[in-house]
Amino acid sequence: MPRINVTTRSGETLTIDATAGSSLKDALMDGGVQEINAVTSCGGCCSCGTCHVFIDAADFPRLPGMQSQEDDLLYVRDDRQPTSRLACQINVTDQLDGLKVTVAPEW
Amino acid sequence: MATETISSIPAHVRPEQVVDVDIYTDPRLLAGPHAAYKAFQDAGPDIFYTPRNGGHWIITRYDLMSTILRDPEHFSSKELHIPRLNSPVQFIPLSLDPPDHARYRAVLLKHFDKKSIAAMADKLRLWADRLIDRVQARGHCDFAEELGAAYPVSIFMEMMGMPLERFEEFRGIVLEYFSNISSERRLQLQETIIGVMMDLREQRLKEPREDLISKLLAERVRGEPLTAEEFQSMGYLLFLGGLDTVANALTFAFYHLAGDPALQSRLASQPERLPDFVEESLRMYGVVHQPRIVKKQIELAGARFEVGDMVMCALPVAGRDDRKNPDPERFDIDRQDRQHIAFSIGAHTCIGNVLARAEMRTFTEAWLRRIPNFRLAPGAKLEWRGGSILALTHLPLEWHAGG
Ligand code: HEM
Ligand code: FES
Repeated sequence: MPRINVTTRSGETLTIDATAGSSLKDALMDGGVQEINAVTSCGGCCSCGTCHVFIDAADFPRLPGMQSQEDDLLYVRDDRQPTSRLACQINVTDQLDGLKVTVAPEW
Repeated sequence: MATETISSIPAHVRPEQVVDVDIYTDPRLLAGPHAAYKAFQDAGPDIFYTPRNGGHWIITRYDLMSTILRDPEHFSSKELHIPRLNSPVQFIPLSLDPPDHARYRAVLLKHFDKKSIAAMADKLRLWADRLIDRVQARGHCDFAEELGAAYPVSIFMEMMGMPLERFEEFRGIVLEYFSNISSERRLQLQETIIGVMMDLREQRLKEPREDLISKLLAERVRGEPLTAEEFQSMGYLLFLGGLDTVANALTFAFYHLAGDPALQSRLASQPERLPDFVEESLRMYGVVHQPRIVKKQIELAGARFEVGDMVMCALPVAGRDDRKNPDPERFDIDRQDRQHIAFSIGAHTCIGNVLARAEMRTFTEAWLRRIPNFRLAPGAKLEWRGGSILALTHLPLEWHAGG
């Protein structure tokens, strides 16, 4: 089971056991990080931005690249960082064990 | 009229899947659409086909709608009218499928996110008080137009930078657009709306202001400004989306509240529970039915969808699905884990949802602060509008004007 290290918006850190094959957003939610899911969520369809996370710079190259749709959505954001991703678009795999992510501020 | 003709049933539709419903004129719907769609949901099948309005499927269960709305590969947004309008004019981003959709959507999202809407809080309060001022001393009103519509439409027009003195005219166009009219007439109204938006574009290109139209004209999509055509179809969508959705949702909420004095007192003394009231009202009284057109053949829950079939997701009763919410017919602001998709789900989840929710909350709070007890006027006749956007055309309310 890949483990994910999460820093929440309030700065709390926790480690969760994710299931390979689920999206990072679902993994975070299953691990109790509910703040990743807003009432305004699109349901994981790369269309709302509420699942915005920052990936640790050292881990970032381990992720497969993003599709144009994800890039388009992040493009307009002032709070975008070089390692910004939408968690619903990241597929958790065993290769991602130990990934460090920070939940981005609310959209 | 187009809606009176019955199409023949296509071969891939089985006889037991046919239920004859005209979404515009069926008397059951016009007597109260939420109860009527709920009855269809209870009676089944979960997916049925009506031969009216060009023939289309109706989906009544939450999970099936959610599956369809999240599957643009099979269910496209390219045609969004029932009966089909076959118009070359798009609604950007509503009628675009991924991946073309996201880059336009992103531009709009930026102006409708929590931060932008929070910055409008004073305006939302000001408009509520201003409109309640007009009716409070009178002791009665027709809520539907005087407040339910006037409130969100005024805010929206001001936000966009549309001239407020043309309120009646614009509101009239939208009301007609969503009523039971022929496709030819709908295309004419489309022309009118586009004309209005293009005039505004001309003006703001010359003299930009602080309004949303000016901001959109200054936006970049992949580095390029919106073309006239792109702006036109965005403006068309915003015009329709902004002028007749919150209006209906707010009127439905007040229809419920008028008949529930205990809830009135509770919300007046516990305004912090207003967000739950808004969500519960959206769960019970959704507004928008969402069409899709089948792009690729697929089978779902025993129904075969062929390319070109029109599908209507009955979002207003998704929240009344007993498979999703226990005891779904009970209006209960204390409900845990409430589920509804009044704003749809998936790639096209309503962009205006943060604004819509803030408006419903702010208005209800202002109203209850000033008019804590009110009721439906005795003998009031309620007139519902069917079609794809549900409405209550009149809602006569009364209260003690003495204070
Ligand atoms: C209670 C009020 C409202 C309801 C029930 C509502 C409902 C909806 C629904 C169901 C959709 C999704 C359609 C689909 O799945 O294809 C949608 C999309 C949209 N709505 Fe709303 N809406 C409301 C208010 C507003 C407001 C106030 C605005 C703007 C001022 C707005 C702008 C939009 C836009 C731009 C889209 C297109 C999003 C996209 O295609 O990506 N809506 N709305
Ligand atoms: S959940 Fe909407 S973009 Fe990820």
